[in-house]
Amino acid sequence: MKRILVKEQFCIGCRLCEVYCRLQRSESGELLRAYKREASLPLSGARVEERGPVAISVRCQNCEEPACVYACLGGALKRDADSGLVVWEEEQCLGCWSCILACPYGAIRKDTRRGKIARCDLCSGEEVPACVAGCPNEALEYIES
Amino acid sequence: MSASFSKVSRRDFLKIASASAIALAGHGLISQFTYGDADHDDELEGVLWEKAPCRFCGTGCSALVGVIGNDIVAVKGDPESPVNRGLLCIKGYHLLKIHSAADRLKKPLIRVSPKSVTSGAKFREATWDEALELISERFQSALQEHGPESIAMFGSGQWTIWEGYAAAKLLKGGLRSNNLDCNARHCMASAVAGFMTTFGLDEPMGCYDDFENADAFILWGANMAEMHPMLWARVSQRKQSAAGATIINLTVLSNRSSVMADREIIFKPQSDLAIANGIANILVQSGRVNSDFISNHVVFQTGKENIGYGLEDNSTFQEEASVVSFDDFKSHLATYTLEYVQQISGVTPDILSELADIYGNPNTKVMSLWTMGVNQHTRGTWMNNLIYNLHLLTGKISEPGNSPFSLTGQPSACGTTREVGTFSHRLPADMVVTNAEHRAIAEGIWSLPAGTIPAVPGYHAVEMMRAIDRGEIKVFWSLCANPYQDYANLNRYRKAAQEKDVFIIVSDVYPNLSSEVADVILPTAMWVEKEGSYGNAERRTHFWKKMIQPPGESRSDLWQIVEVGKKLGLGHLFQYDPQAYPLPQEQLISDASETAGFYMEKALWEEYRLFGKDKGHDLAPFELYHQTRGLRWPVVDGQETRWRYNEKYDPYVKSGEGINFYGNEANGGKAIIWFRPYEPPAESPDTDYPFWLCTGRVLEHWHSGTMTRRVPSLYKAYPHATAALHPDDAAELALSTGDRIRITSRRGSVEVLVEIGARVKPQKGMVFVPWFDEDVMINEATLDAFCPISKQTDYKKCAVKLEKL
Repeated sequence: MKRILVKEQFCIGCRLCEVYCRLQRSESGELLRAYKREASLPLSGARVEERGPVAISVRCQNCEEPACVYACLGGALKRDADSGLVVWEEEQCLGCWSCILACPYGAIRKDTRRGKIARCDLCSGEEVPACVAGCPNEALEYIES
Repeated sequence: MSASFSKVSRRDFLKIASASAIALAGHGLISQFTYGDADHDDELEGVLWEKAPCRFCGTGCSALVGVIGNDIVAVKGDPESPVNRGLLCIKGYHLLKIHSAADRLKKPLIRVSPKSVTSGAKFREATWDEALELISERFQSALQEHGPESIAMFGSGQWTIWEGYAAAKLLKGGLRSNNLDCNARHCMASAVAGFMTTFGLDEPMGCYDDFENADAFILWGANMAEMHPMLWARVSQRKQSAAGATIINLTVLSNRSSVMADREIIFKPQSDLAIANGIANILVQSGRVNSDFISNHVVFQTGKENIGYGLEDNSTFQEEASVVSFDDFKSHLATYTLEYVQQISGVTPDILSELADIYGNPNTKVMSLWTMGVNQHTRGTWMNNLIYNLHLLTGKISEPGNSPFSLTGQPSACGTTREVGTFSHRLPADMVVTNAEHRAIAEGIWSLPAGTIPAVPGYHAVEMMRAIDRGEIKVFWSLCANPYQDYANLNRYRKAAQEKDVFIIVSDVYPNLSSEVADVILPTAMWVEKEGSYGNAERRTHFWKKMIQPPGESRSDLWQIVEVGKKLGLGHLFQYDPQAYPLPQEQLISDASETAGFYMEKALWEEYRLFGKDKGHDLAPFELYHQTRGLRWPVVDGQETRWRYNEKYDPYVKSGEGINFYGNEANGGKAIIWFRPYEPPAESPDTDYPFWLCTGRVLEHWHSGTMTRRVPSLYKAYPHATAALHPDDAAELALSTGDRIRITSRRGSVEVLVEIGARVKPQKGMVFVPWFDEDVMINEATLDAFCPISKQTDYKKCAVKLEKL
């Protein structure tokens, strides 16, 4: 399966991964319109953590032993048997926030407006995820692993 | 783990990446707290893990509590628990932080400000001896001048079993007063009355194993996705299993349980009575009933009608039961035609028929589930009866998957308040004070002279507050509850607390709206700061050990009850043989045991066990509950009972009997099908007050929020109560999310922010406000009407008007 490799030695904490992620999820697909006009612009599935000079872009790691899947009360999070990826069915999500607590990476966020979670779906359907494509320092790489 | 994939070791990654998780874990020692995972134990050096049931809802999940020294450093789901199977909900994971907020009460406090001052009232610190002496003086003078009716205690479904037991023994056996009631009156009293009137024995016949055996789940006023998340997870698993399952959510507002439901049925408030009768009518008219079951195991009865709403002080109720034939019952039901039910409830004939198809299909195993929508209802007892009717008519009861299941609100509403009997009319093991034989049994076990326990029930919860307002109660002691935020029609009762000659004692963990009207505040040890015992909704009794010392001078409610008893010259009630009950080894000793010099909890337990022995309430010896993840009573020969009344599972049913509802010994072990009509609510919207007000809880907060609002992440997740409205109503009133409104009823008003499209979406003409927020005192608007049989308040229905501010 293809996943996103995070090379923390190249990450400068610019947060463009967050910006490109939200842009990818926007209705218009246009940066200014999305941020200025779209009232319900979805949250980013990526999140930058910083401590001093160290920065790292955090997102779902598609764990082989996914704590979020075990913790999910509504059966919305599953590990796809074929791809090995963690998949999420929005309609099944209860908004109980259990996965947020269970995730060891802090990679799932609470979208209180929707009453659902927000997480990386590797821009399903895209050849290269938006954050990888947009990372100016090539700190993110989309590779088979 | 996939962390190696990111070329950063897991430990390094966590150091930088999980700042949020570290913040949640509080002590920074453990970067996550999730289900048990041996893979992570290398990070948990020196942590001692012990099991304890969660102290929030009635599900009865087991948590593993990680302790280093005197600190709780982690909480995770207990993989050995058959209830929650290693998972916890968001409140459960945050058990970690409920005990350690900065304003924890640590010393007894005595009021300095005049009683009229509430917010900002001044208290001075006192020693325990001074506080206990003052309490004892007040009790004695009230008893001498006004008699045992002038004192009252208000307890809790969050009490441990021995705390409830000690309270019952002190009040009923020691002080000769039946004025002991509890917050479970607002929570489960209708369920109790429903069980007692139908089966003659309290609590569900089924258990949580029904979740894995049912084909259909019918929710009657229960938002399980938010209020019982771990049980909802089991419903979800069943639905997604190969067997599949149908979920129907019968509700007055759209909620999170609707997300997974196959059908959401929105009905008009109070009309569930008509819907249940309508389903029963279809079943009997079409002959889709279990005739063998009916002729062998059921009798039909009618009762008193037009029973009122308990709105007048000192109102009473006397049932007028008559046995009738099945044909009589059918003719009573005949009124509930498809058209009539639609007219009352708004539920269309096709939907009603669909419900009847589910109940009436002999091949569909049905689990009916309900909580506050049914219990907090001016006809709560009747609604409980009517749900049982559907299962009794079809014989779908007391076997795996066929289960009318009354969900419980509080962690030990069953174990403590119901089984011990901390209600004003009850004694342990379903006995009542009005029965001379029952009183004699209690007096025998408690070694009291005959005639000690009064034969007249004391004040039930609402009447207790009304009696304070009438000046009849001179000393009121509230423990493990927050009555001055929780009561409906709160203005009347808060005013009484300030103006009447009543000495109020509040035992609690944090300052709250009840402690601010107190004369004395006693600091309380909570949860794993004491040794405890809870009984959950499926009759599972579960113990925990003391794991840390309580902060400052806080003491458990058990210690407080025993010490007050001693000051009042009733120490003998709590004196047991130290040889028989030596202090436990290799565990922290509770404050009550330490002061007594013997194992107080065990001594109380072994005495309490005598009440239910051989009466269908058998409990196991003390140690067994520390060794297991709980056992479901009756526990006979060390074996728990999963389905009662069925000879396959219940040792009380003799071989060859099949089903025996042995609680109703007088009629030969038959359950009672009651005809209970639709009657309108106590107050309905009109031109002056055009909206329904419905109140309830939210996932993130427990009851009045005194603990969960002090946990930063839970507070942040849901900081304030908001008013949810239907979008059409909002448009009509020109309201949008964030606008401030005033909600006014005939009793009071409250200001609150509007939220449209929130997780709860009320039907048109209804506003929903949760009651956890002390800054939004919604109970100043609610109505203190109650079910005249159970005396449980209806928090779900009253009339209000809305004004934009």
